[in-house]
Amino acid sequence: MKFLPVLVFLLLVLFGLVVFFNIVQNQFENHQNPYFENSLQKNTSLNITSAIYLDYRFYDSIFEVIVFFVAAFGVNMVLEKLPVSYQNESIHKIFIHLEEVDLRMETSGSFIFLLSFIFSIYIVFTGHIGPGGGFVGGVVAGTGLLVLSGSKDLKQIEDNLNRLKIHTIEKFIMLFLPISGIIGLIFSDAGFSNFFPQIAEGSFFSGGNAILLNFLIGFKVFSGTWTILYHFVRHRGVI
Amino acid sequence: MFSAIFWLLALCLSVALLFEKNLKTSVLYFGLFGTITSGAYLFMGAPDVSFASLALGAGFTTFVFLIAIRKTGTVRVKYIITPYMVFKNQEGNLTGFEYELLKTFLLDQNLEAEYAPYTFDKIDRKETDILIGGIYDIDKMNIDEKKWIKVEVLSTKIFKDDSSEEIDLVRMKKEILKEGKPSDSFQYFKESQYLFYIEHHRPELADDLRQFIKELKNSGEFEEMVRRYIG
Repeated sequence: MKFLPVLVFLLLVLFGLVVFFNIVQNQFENHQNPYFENSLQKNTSLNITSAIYLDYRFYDSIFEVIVFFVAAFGVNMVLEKLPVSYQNESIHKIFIHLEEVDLRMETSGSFIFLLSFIFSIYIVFTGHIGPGGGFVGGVVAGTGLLVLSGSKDLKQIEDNLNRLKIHTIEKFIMLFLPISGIIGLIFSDAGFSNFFPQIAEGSFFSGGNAILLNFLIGFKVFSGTWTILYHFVRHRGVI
Repeated sequence: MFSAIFWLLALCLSVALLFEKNLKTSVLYFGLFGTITSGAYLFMGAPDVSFASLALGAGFTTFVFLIAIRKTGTVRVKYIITPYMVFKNQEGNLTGFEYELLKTFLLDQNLEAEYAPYTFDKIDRKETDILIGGIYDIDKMNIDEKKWIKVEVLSTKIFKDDSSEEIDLVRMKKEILKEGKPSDSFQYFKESQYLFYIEHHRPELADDLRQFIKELKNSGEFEEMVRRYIG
């Protein structure tokens, strides 16, 4: 039993040393990457990372989105078969620590959700100009939702989740990504090519399809979180 | 160079994480780890990755872990009503020596508890973590002994009454004091132990409980509790 922490500790030290020496003799700048040349002229996106993963390497990104879609879909499918919770709760049970949500918690939870939602909208729509992007935006909004659901009553959350019906929209949003590829195929010779108007570098409509794709990915990640959360609340009674 | 400092900080933090016993503290350390790596990425010139690390490592996973701890932190206790050990007082609340001992232990461990009475039919191990209530004989419990971990709580004596039925100390005491049975109708039979049974999938709970009882005995609080509830 005592041996395992020491082993993990040694592995961590090794990992730290590798990272440290990698950084000290940093060779990253010496390699010339073809994406670094002309990307500003070709893609007009100020954020070169966005230009790579939403234009040059979009094929990779779309599979990442599919992975997340399959994960959310799997949770959906498995939990849908389980019975809905908190109907068969036995009455004779004595709960010692009753779950009470503080008013301060509830207010600050809603406030944090609002802030993170606004921030996520900002980083989704400026992902091609500065740092950010669809995935991060979706995760930020999802975290805000998690905070909200941690500070509210279960019944209340389920009502909120039911009213918005995002878990239904989430099933259809996946269709929009192939559709955007087909539109690109129609307007130009290759699939997934840019069809959005490209104005000057650094403007809101720069970077080709970046705004649309960031929005779709962001919405996908956010609604995926939402769907998973909904099914956990509905069938497990916990978040 | 800044990023190297961040990575070294992250390394120190991960060592602290490795030796941290309290789950909630280690989750907070983990969130801090995500923040520090995010700072390192920022100084390495990757603000996008830094954002993702901050949102996922510091935000999302921290909350998911905290919720998971709260979920698994609930201990389901099944009790048998026993005089002096687990019983209901005039207000209908549970009290008694074993109940208070377990309650102090769970408070100490930051765990929440759910109490339900034990019915003597086949027990569902998936819905029970701890069995309490003056248990000294496994044969009466209708459970599989291999699937449960014994934790010795208190030594006791077993007596035999007129019809040579076994009876333990606290139940005998109640019969003598409350029902007025003569004390010479009970014959001394053997020494025994009151036990807590813990489901074998949660061995850490048994270890912690043993450690906790040991500490209580060392500080003399255990004797105080025995005096208060059993006399």
